[in-house]
Amino acid sequence: MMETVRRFRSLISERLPRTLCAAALISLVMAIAFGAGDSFKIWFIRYLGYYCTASAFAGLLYYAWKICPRDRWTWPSPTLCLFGGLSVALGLWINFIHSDPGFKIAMDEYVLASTARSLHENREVFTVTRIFAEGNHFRPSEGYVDKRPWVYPFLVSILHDLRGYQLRHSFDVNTLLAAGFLTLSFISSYRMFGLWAGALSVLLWSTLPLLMLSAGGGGMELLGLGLLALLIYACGRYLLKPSADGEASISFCVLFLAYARYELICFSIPALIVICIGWHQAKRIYLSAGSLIALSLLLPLLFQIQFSLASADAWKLSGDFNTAFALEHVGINLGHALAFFFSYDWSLANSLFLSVFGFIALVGLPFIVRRHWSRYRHSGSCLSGLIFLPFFGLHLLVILGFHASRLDSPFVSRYSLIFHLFLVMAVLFLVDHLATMRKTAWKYAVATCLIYICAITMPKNAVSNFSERNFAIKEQAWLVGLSEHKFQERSLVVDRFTVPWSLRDWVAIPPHLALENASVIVNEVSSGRYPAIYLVERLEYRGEGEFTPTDPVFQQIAEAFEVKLIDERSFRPFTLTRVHEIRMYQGVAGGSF
Amino acid sequence: MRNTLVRFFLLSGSAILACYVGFFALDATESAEFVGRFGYWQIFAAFILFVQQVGLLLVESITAWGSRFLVGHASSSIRAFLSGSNVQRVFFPICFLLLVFTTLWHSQPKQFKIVMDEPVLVATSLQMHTAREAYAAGNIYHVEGIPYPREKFVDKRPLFYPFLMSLLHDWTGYRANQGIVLNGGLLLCLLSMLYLAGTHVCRPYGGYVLVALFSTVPLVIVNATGSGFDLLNLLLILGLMFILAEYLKNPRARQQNILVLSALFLAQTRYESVLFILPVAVAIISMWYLRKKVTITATLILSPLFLIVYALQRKVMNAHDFFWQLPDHLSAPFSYEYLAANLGRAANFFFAPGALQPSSPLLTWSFILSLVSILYLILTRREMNTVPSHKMKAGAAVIAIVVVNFFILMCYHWGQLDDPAATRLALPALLMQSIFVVYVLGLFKIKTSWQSLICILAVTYFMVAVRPVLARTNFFDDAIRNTQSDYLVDLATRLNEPTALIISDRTIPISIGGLSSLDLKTALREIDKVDLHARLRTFRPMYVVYLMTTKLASENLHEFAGINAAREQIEATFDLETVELKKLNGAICLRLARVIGIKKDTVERSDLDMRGMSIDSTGKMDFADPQLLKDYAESLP
Repeated sequence: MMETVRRFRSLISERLPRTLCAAALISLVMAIAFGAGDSFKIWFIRYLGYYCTASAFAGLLYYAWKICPRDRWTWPSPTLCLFGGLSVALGLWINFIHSDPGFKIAMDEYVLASTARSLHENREVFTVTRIFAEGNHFRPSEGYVDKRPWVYPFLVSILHDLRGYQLRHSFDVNTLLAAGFLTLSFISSYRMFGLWAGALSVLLWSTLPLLMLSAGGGGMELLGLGLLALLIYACGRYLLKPSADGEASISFCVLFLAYARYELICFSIPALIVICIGWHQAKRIYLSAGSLIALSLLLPLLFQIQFSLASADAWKLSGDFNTAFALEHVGINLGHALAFFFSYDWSLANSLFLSVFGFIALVGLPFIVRRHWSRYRHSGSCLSGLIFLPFFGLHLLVILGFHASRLDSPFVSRYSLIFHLFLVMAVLFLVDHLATMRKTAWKYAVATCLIYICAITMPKNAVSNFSERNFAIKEQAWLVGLSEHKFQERSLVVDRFTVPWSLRDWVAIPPHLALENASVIVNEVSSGRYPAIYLVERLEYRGEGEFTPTDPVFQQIAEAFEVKLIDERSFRPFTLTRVHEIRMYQGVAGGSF
Repeated sequence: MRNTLVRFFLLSGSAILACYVGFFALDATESAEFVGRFGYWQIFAAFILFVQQVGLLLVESITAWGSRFLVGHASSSIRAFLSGSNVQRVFFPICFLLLVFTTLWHSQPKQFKIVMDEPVLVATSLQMHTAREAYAAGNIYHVEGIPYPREKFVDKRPLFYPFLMSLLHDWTGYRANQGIVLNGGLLLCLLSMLYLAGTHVCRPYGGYVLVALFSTVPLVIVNATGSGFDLLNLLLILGLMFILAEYLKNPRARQQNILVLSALFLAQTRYESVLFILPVAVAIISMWYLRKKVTITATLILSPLFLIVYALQRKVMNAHDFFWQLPDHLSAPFSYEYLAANLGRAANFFFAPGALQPSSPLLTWSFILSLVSILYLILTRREMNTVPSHKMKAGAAVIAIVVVNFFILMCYHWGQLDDPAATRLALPALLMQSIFVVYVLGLFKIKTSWQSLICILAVTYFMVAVRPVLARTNFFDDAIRNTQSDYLVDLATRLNEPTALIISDRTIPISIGGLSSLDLKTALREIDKVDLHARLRTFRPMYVVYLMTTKLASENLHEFAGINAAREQIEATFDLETVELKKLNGAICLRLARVIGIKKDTVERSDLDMRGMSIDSTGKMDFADPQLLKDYAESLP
């Protein structure tokens, strides 16, 4: 023990300036993070957030490039290429054949798409709730800095930069991420246990409808998963051959991962452990320039986390809960989580196959690791996987500590995606153990997995009950169709949800604002600025054949204006969405148009 | 020996269990439920076994072929493969088959040919695809984007064809016309196998002759461009012939498994094809006897269990008279009394010229000529003293069953082959005629040039007499129900209104097209419920599709009394606005009308007790009483 401490001290003394620099940086970042005022933080995130993320992204790419063995690059064997290519192609086919690219979770995904557009057009982390028309251009007039991390919108904005703004880029990024993730999953598993393990991991992921759901949507779950897989892979490479560049690449991976989703910051602990193991193996502390830069880039992240935690509104706290995060939520949510993992109901996007075998593997994992430790400790990928495995438990704890994490609700189950990486890895370790007793274990596992996909995953994906039930998305799709075919172009829309309209270059205001500024609106229409005004009204059934508005403001608007019904649809029992054209202002004398 | 004895007892046990469950344990209602819930899984299990066995066989052959191919330098092996003889043996036939397939494929409209058989098969495949059930849904409501199938029933039609369709749905996405896609693939396989069969019985150009001769039968392409299972039946019969020949040549366990499973699939493709189990059983037992070795594999032990669903489906069919579609004046579906009349009508079919029937007089006359020729050969005792080959034995066994099936068909009340809906039943007989003709041609060992000439003759006959007929008619010109079904599927697919409801007397085509549907009679009977959900906006817009007579028909009104009575009732109940009219024939057209309202005097207003339900401003529902949703579901018409 004393020897280790002495050695560590001597290592530090060797790299004293860098160690001091790192310590100073951390202190500085912390001081700024806790000392700065709220308005400064919001300003910083809004105007500098993009550049910080861009720097982190550039750092990640640079160090990924640097650790690539370019000078001694050889093509992998044709068998590996063929096997890997076929496995990934099959995985993608299974995941996309029944996928319907489009928004899956309202309003989260609209907000992300809106932030992506701001990043593309203004390089600002900003969600636009309202735009105004200026000549032939639309400019944001109102909005807010959202609580959600902006790495996903950042990637979407890159695609916008490359191909011009298109709403579908939100889904294209996830498609690309799914392809990249499955490839990475194959490569990592191949490095751990060989060809069949690669194929098995891709197929295990394909049993999970949740992956299909994320890959076809506009959410950021897949990004977190992909980055985590990348981090584990980078750690595996680093453990095999520690280097300063390897360490920097891990640092940037961790930074980018934390940028992508806050709760994934708990995976920085195993990454730190890996870095320290590398130092121990190499008998030196690297603390490369890249790592120091990555440290300084933690600042906007801390700002964002503080900002998010501070605004209780942003956590959608419902009446029964006082705190967004608490240990007491874990007990309740654990039951829901188990109900999700072991559900055989087709309305949930779980994979019973992965859950059953994953949890069996979880029980046996300590014995398996003990039995094969001598083999695993020399394989960088296996060791990296084993170091990360316990922290998935910590991550699950964090997730379940969040008050709204009832995983058996179709809209929340996406939070469990990360934990499935644990299940997949655990199953791989289990099958590897079985393969030492019976060589055909990998082939049988692949065949069983394929049969499960044919029998259960395919119909689940085809029906997609877990995403089709989202009435808000259906309503938005209908409004899009209506605005394209029945609205006069460049009209004003009065709707509670303005973000989706702003995304499609429609000037939209919430109903209460319309009511407050009725006379202004009348003037705008009579001056020809807007050819028409459309009102989106939401109602509920009260019996007796009558629908009543969900918000009294609609009643007031109906009294103030003369409205003409254009169309109405019900996307859920007992609810109704109506679209009216506002024809005549009755609130002031002579205010007609 | 002991192992074999245990396996024998297991086989006996599974056979007894299958007989007990299939014939005695369940009544008709329980049988229907059993088939509905487990029918898919039974075929799925058999199919997985089949894929495993065929896969292992393929891996063995590919490994053997690959090691042969890779001996020496790869490039020289490729050069050797691309040598002249291979080009002639492989590439010419491929080009010929593709040419024949393309010509045939574009010669008929792709539409339902036999209603309601074909829409019901697609409906069954849809339930298999989405719920892994062997039911067909009478109608499907889409509420909140989720399909809720209603009036589910177990159909009389065997399940293998809908199973294959559901596989295609699974792996390529759902299509209402998946049957046509599947039949296209099956046609290509059938033509390829015919070519191989022809080459086997008459070298070297028998394959070309057989394909050309069989293509002169318009019935083949008429069926291939529909969603029926007859082409699959044909392919499996031909496949069984090949597999049986392979088994007789090489009676190993794997070949035996594949043979047994193919016979099981054939039994679940068409009702009467269950008889093909007989030659398979005889072949297996005789091979055991000849080799003095009994091979009882796990697949064989399981095979009786795979037939339970077939037996139960027949039980369901027997329990409901409407499945037999027996006319009022007849008492039994099968009888010798029908034989004479049916044979006469079969002759009408086989010898009908031109566009009257989808048959090929060329094939019929060639077949008669072949019969005479073989009689001549037998009388002159040429060629008849050799030991029959495996291929001959297999061919003879399969042909024998086809002949037996043909005579059963002739004793069936609907075995009238000149009826457009029944012509397809002649397909196996036509296939056997073609093979027989080419086989006899092979016996004469005529010169290559004569073979080419016969092939050219068949092709010329096709181009001169068949192709123009295929361009002129689809053989179902008067079938308004076919056009109506096609129209409804097309309507449901193109409307792009996920919350729409179509009320029609045919609901299944709308369900398979992906929209909510309601039977016209139910809608008129339960108009209060329709009115309630019109007020709740559960379905919006609502359409009614119904038949109308034109002015031409009004002259002899009594013939269309049913259509006019229904129309009067519909128009007295709903306020309608015409969206489009489609002419089905000179006398009848189809009206698609949007429901503007329901006439007040026909409705007794009902309502749901809302039990304090509320929705907050974020759109979250708060159901004070969970019974409300149940009430809602029950209130649907």
